[in-house]
Amino acid sequence: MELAYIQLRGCSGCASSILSSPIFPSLLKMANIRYFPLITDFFSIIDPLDLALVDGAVSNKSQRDFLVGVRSKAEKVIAIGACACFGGFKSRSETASRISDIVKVDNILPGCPPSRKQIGEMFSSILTGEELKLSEKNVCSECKFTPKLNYPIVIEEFFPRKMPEKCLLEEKTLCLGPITRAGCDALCIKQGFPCEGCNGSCKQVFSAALTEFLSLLEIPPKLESQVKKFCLKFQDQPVI
Amino acid sequence: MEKNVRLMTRVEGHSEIITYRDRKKRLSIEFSMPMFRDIENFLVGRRIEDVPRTVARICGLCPVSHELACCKALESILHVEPPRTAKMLRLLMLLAELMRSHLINFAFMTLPDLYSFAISPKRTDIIGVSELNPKEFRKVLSLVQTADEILNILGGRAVHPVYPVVGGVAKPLSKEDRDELHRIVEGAVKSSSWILSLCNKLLKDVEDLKAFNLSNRFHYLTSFEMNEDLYFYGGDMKIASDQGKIVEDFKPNNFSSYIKNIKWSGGQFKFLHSTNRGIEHPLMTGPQARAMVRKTEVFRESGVDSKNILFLNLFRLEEVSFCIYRCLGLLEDSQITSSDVQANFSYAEGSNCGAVEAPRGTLIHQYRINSRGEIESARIITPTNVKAYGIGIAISELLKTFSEMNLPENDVVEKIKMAIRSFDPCISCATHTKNQ
Repeated sequence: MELAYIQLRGCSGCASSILSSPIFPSLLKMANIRYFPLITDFFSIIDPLDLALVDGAVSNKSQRDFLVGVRSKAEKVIAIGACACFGGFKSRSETASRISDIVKVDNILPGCPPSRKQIGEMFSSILTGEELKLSEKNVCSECKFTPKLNYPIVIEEFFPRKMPEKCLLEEKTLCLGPITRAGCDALCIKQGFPCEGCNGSCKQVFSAALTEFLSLLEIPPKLESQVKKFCLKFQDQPVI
Repeated sequence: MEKNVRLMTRVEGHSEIITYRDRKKRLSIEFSMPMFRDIENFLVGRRIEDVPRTVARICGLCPVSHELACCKALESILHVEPPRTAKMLRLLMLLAELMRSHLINFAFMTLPDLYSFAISPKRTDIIGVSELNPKEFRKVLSLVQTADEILNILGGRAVHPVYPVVGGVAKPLSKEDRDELHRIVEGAVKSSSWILSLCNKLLKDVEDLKAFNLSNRFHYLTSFEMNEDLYFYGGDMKIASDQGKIVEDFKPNNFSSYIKNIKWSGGQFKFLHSTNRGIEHPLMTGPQARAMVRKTEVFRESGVDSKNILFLNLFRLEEVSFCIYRCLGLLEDSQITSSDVQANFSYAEGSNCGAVEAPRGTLIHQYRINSRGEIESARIITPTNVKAYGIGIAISELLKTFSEMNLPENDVVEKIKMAIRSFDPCISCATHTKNQ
């Protein structure tokens, strides 16, 4: 299999997760790496590719042109990580876009970074030729807490000050678990942090789910801007 | 002027090597980082609790360093002192990150260069190495995975781990996890001394090794105290002379009184140590600076060669061993499993700095926050920012040496790329802001 790994604007976290994951040696065996500037000395992609893995967001014209060139040579393109899948971190001054805004993407592997399990599943799906199926459930389905929620959900806290003992939303602390795609084993919540949505939405468009979710919350005015900022960290599209 | 842009390979992030030939056919070389991310502006208006996890995303190789520099800065504004156990756990994580980053650099970026002298593989990358020496390849890789595993256990994942919080860390370490960590770290002791001797052996085969010597008298920036309780957790900043003698000692908040930065090329700054006698020294930071201050074995034994750029790899690998022993020390301290891991705090306005020893050197975060606990302004100075000018000086000096050796242009460029890899620049970190 002829494979290329392309890094656009990102942090090398996705690539380094792959390099240090136990699956890496078998990746070397199964694939012929034709481009991966972080670890090889190929300067360009010359021959047709079976698969291009792309991480990072598109932030300038040369990246855009390069990506279009990659697409024309690759049978299949998979977006790796939250930046490639959703555009990554955005601030008002930025113009970064997700790669599916520029080229056709065959599949995505979200997460910031994708978990070791998700990376393993992706490579075994590539090996077997089966379609990579992302979970359609939400993070709550993997969480050790089962929420017993009354609507509207009252939010009083922005961030837990101690290890949570029950569902964060029940503790009136904001958590994006209900609208975020499963696959991470509710890692952040296990660590005592609220879910920040890096795995994208379990529905098709993150922002639609987000708008719906926000309408179920009762947020005090002093927290409104914080909640919005938090929710839009890994946005799919601008909300409102 | 004839200009040629080549992609720089085997370094973190996107960078380019630009060569110029003037009318007299003289060669000049520029190392360029043509990309900008805008993290600082992204932080403005955010509540401080969410900032450590957010700044981690600046870099996938040193996220813990960013989290810790951020926590330290915010804690000094709020006058919060994390409990000793929290500091131990943070340090454990930082050491694991140093190992991980150094080993990724060695395995994937540097090792193929060193191998190319010893056995000239078909291709100069990890794939070439893995084909020629699968056993060594697996051993190096398993060390990388060890560092990964430590971060996984503490932070849930190796990249952008979720663990440090303002005031401490999110949860205590269980005795079972402590034992598991101890087993993992102990298992890596042998391989870590093996990898250092491998590097030593390969360096001996490098032709023209002496040509990589630098004559420049850099000054060296670090941020840890030799006799601090949690050695290497760090705090105050130090500048050492090129002999390793500490010449300045100051709080991170006062860095602008000692370190001058002047606009330079390519959106980067010149970071200079400006002495009270008005002399300016270009700054270096990272494993070499730390080895000089710690007077490590490699530093003492290498003598003049400690100024050799390829010896940076030895300093890095010697530090991997140091990290392993330091981790064992922490894990054997009974306080590490204490449940006291978070100090309470309330919001207060103010501004301050925090510094930490990241894999590539001293990392500084500076914030101003308001009484509602929101970030008003942020400034982040990364080790690669600090040494970018020094790397530029090194490139010019090497270019002069190699030009005098009458090497063909391609060989000169390849050797300079090798030198740049030894500096282990982190482009994601260096280009985190627009307003550099």
